[in-house]
Amino acid sequence: MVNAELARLSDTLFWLALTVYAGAMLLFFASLAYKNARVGSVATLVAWGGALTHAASIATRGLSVQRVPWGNMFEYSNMLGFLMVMTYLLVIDRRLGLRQVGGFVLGGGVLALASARLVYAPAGPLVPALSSYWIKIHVIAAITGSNLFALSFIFTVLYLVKDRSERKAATAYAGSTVGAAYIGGTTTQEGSPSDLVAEEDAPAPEGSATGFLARFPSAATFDTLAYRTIQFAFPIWTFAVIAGAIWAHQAWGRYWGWDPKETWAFITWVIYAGYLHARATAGWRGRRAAAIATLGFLSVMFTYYAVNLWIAGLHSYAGVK
Amino acid sequence: MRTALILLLLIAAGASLGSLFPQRPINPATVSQWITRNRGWAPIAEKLGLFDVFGSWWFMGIYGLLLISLIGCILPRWRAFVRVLRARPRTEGTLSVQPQYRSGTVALTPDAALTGAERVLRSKRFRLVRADGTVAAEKGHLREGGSLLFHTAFLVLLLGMSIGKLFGFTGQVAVIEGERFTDTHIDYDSITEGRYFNEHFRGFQIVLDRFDVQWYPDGVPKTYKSSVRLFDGGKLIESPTIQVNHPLTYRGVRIYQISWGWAPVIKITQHGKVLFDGPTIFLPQQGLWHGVAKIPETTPLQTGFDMSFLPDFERDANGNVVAGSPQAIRPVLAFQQYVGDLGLTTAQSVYELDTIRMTPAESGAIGMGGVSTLPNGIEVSLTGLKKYSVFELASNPGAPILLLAAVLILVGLIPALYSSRRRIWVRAAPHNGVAHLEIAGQAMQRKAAFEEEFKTFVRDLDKDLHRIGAPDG
Repeated sequence: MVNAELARLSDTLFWLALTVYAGAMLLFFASLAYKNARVGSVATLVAWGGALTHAASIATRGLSVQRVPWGNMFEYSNMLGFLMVMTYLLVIDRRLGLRQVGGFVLGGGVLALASARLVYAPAGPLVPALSSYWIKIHVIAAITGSNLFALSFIFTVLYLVKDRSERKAATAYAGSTVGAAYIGGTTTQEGSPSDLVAEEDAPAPEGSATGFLARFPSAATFDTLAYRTIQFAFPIWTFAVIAGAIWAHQAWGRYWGWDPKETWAFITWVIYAGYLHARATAGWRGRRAAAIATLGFLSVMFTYYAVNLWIAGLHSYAGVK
Repeated sequence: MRTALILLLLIAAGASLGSLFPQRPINPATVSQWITRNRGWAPIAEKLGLFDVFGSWWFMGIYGLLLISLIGCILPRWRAFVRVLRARPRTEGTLSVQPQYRSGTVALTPDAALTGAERVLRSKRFRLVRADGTVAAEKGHLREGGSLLFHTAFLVLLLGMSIGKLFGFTGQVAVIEGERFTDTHIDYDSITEGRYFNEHFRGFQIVLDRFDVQWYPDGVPKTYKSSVRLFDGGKLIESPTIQVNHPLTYRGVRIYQISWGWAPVIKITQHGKVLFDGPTIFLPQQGLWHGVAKIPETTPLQTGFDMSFLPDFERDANGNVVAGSPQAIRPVLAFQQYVGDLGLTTAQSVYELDTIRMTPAESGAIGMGGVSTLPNGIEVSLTGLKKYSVFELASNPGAPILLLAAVLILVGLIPALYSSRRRIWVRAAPHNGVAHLEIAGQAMQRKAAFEEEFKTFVRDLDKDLHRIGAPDG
């Protein structure tokens, strides 16, 4: 049933990928610290190597058990880490050219893989409740949504850090916090809600930051990136919840039963719906929006870890004994 | 819409309580446990409806307020949206104040230049109007339309939920292999009927011929499969199998495989007279299977048996009984006999023994085919082993409406988030025998993307008019 040789190969490749990711992360940070673009290119290459190794690990895992490789908590976290790194490489690096955040996303990937290892489950078949084509639809949508929410959280944290340094620098520069808000131009700025390129193109306020933070895009850019990512993630999460309801209708005889996982997926959805409302209609941005985004990501974490590990419910597929 | 924001966060906070406190509609047993553990808090929690958060007055209250706020928000927006759709794009006074602005001359008549602009804008699917030497164009109503569709879909969702609740039903029943179940109120072990379900049972019958359960070598379950025959009006309709994820649908009722268990065939006699003989449903309890037998006919006192069933009896190194594999390899029935008054005059569960007026007597354990002889000529034997299958039967007439709502939510959400509303104006005035062109644009959202779109438009227009002059501004 289980091809033990492939499963072992998958485990070896997993450790290799984790190590390579950690190496890429350190290289990214080194390139930031020493302002060395060449190190950044090497880091990117290393990250690609890690991603390919990781892809091979996931593929061999799936082949060893003849099913989709996202059937328990280990595999889910593993996929989550993979999608984070891939989204970084394909979108954040190649399309947006934001190599500065590489270390942080790779760090997220390392955390995802390390946490996966904590809930490791050996390669094995699926229980009957999971033997449905909906596992391909519902679970992948949930992982993709979680991945994007995780990335939006990285942007949110970077926004908060950069915003603080901009405010501090502006205080030193203008000698007043009122000036800070004006020069920083992030939270009280009038005008358009969120336009990535426009704000990116805006010249960074003079003397806004020192050290490696200076090499970062403006706080406003991170604020907008977080918003854009959540805008992209929200329909996917909505779809994941809907697909879950349809699957529940098919497997359990009801589409919604306030199972802990359903409840928390709903809470996450509601918080991010609140975030989008806050930005679109109440005009919230900057730190107030970041507060909701943080709450949203805490809810994502709770939906995944707390519900799987602490709260008994129908979604007890963690495979953790 | 600050109100909506506050209500959304309130409903999230409320729902979180529903996952942190045990919920009576989901698992009543855990609620009782919580109450025994937290005697002091229980009455307060009870009063606040924390054991049924999703049915509590305050959760319904937030929900209701959200609904009112939703309706109050989308009604005027629908009205405004229809008005905007009917209205023609607005022509502007001074174009040079717009965020995007270009001007130049072109060796055409103003009329020809405007016709060219119309052509290009139309090919980009702008809605446009031409008046007083100006073409005014507009695009991106999908944003507001999608947003309205998304929000209205929640009313459709509510409708679907209500129809399912009012006209549907959900029932559970355990059927032993070889036995028959009829879709009538009395045959269900538990049932919830909608207010307007009106006992609309179909009356079909299900015979469970066999229940198969298979395990992987490591004890992980592989398949649960009920082989049934379905009869309606005395005629055999079909002989399908019902599995997890593969419910059977018949006359609007869906029949689901929910769980299963062991039903040992137990025979109890006194002085050779058969008092009890048949498969008995055992429920899973802490790794064992637990069942009871109540025999009021025994003399001189009534007899009850509290029984445990182990499909695979094993002892560990210390001689303690442990459960082996889940398969029936070495089945053992262990029992504790009670004598006295079963208390059958009051209603009680068939799965529990009320031992208040009884005293423990003999205990023992028998294997398959084994017989245990007890005082007063009572004999207990394990003559066979069957399984039972638990089915859930449900009809939800609201399901198609719910699916429609789900589709509308997704279809509306995408343009609501990604589309943007923008306007373009092209004005042409005669100027030394050629046309002086002014081109202006404005976007309500995604202004950076619009900047690109505007540039592309100017380029395309230039191409169309061939000889548009270099912008002089």
